[in-house]
Amino acid sequence: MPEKQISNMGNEFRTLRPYKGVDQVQAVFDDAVLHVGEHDRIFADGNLITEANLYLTAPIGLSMLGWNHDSDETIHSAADVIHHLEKGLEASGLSREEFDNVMYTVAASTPYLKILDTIWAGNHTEFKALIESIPVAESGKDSRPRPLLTPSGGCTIELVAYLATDRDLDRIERPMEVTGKGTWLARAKFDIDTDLAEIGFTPTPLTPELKDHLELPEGTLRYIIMEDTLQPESSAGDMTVYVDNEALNAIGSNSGGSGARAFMVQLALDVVTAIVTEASRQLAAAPDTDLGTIQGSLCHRLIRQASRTSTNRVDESREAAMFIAIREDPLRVISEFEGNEDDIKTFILASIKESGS
Amino acid sequence: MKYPSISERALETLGPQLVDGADPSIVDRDARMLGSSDQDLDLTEVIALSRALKEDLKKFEKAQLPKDSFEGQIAGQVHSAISKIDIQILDDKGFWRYLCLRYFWWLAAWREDAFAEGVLGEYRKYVDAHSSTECVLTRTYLRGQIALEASGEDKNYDHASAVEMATDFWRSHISRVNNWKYPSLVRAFVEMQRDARLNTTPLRVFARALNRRRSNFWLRELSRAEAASVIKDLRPDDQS
Repeated sequence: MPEKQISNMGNEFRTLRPYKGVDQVQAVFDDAVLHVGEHDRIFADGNLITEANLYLTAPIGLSMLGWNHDSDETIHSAADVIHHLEKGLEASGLSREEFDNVMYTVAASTPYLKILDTIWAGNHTEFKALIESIPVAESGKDSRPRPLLTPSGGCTIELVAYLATDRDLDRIERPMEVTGKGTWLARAKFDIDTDLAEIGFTPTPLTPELKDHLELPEGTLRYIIMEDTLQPESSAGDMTVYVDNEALNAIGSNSGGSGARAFMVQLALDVVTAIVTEASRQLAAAPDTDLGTIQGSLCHRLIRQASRTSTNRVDESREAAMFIAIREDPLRVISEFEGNEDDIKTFILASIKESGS
Repeated sequence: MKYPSISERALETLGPQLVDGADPSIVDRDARMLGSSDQDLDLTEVIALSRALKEDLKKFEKAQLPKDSFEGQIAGQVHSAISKIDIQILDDKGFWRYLCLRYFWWLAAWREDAFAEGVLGEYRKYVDAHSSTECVLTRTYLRGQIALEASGEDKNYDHASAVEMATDFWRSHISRVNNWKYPSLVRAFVEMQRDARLNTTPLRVFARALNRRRSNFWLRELSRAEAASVIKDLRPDDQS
């Protein structure tokens, strides 16, 4: 999706968090980098598709020092990162004595088997000591976190900074400050998938028997049924993409041909159109819905995939603009997708396969 | 470890045969053995589980309880037996598909009305293991797993069967959304639903409020009492 077009879709951006100063802490987290093996790196809120063997054996570490692709080296010094992080904590209202009331957790989860392992947790002092590299997984399969043993399901590594205890403060004198235990100040996510993961949707053969059952005309080539597109953490199972069984067999036997390819692109566009149209209808009926309440839904995953920049990071302004556009001008969103085949290809490969977020 | 796996394509031919009453042993014909070692995965315990649950079902049917109660009752046994299998094997949907077709077809066919008409497109999601929260065997396994985590130090499966008629509750509000990541929250949510059940519409409103709360809080470290307090705060007193 071309950045300029999407940026023009709307000019009302969401308020990210109702707390002061946390955006400065988040800015530090935005430079977090997950190092996978010797050569692969994932930026905050980015993803990596790697080989299953690497997924199962590569050493993985999390660094807060950023990474410059061109020079192949870190961007910041540890001292700079700590300085900016602590400035952010102060801007959030925390005194230096309260810094160790902030806990940092690195957790890995795999969506198919619903397993979450806490890999590392520590307070601010302990986090500072590991700011250059928090070990996530050692080389090899022994003592590897369980989500990193699931190459088909893939996993999400998440870093979260949150308050470990309640802060007792006068909310009138000190408004907009983080107070409650568990309130997070910043987070960064890294998705790792492998070449074993299933593609976005698996077309279901539309047999004559099924057409009859679904009361479809005999000549129907494709038909899509989907449940709630705004349901958080929905899965590919919530959408069934039927394709005429003869057409499907023809595509299967000539998958590299231009006709088969054109059909697959059109099919992906049909899926995008169905999601956008249904989501727009649902949003019209529920005007209080915001991005926060549809995390992981089919609609959100579509938005997120289309909001990635050339460095594969999610541009939150684009994400917010696209959400508004789906609500207010769905036909335009569809036309934007039609105009960008790269996004459609990415969408087929990554966007709606079953994964948590 | 070598283990059996069934492809989606094989399901398309095996499903109709099983619906027509074929013996589940036909599944072995189409199973591919995957994995690198010379040793085969020992399925003795899973086979014994299937047999034992079949017997349990006979007794259960005499009690004329809602079908969902059975799913909640067996979730612990299903998880206890299957969780002993290597996680890399459980990560393979083809393995789950094999278990569904070979040893637990009877469970899915009994549990879901979609099998009655015999239309593959209608029943396949309950046995194809594509979505772990839809497929009968995987969703039962996950219900056991999540209930076990929610029990904390008690280490039991009691919460899996604590709420009656709860298949949709577990699917829509626990396993399919991120609530499963927060064991103490799951426990409090299940106990709320057990003690003062919310019907569909107020439950959806409550779930949306919980989603909002989740979007600003990392709830993994909440104690049992704190999680119960979160649930209580979000629930208006007069809702049912």
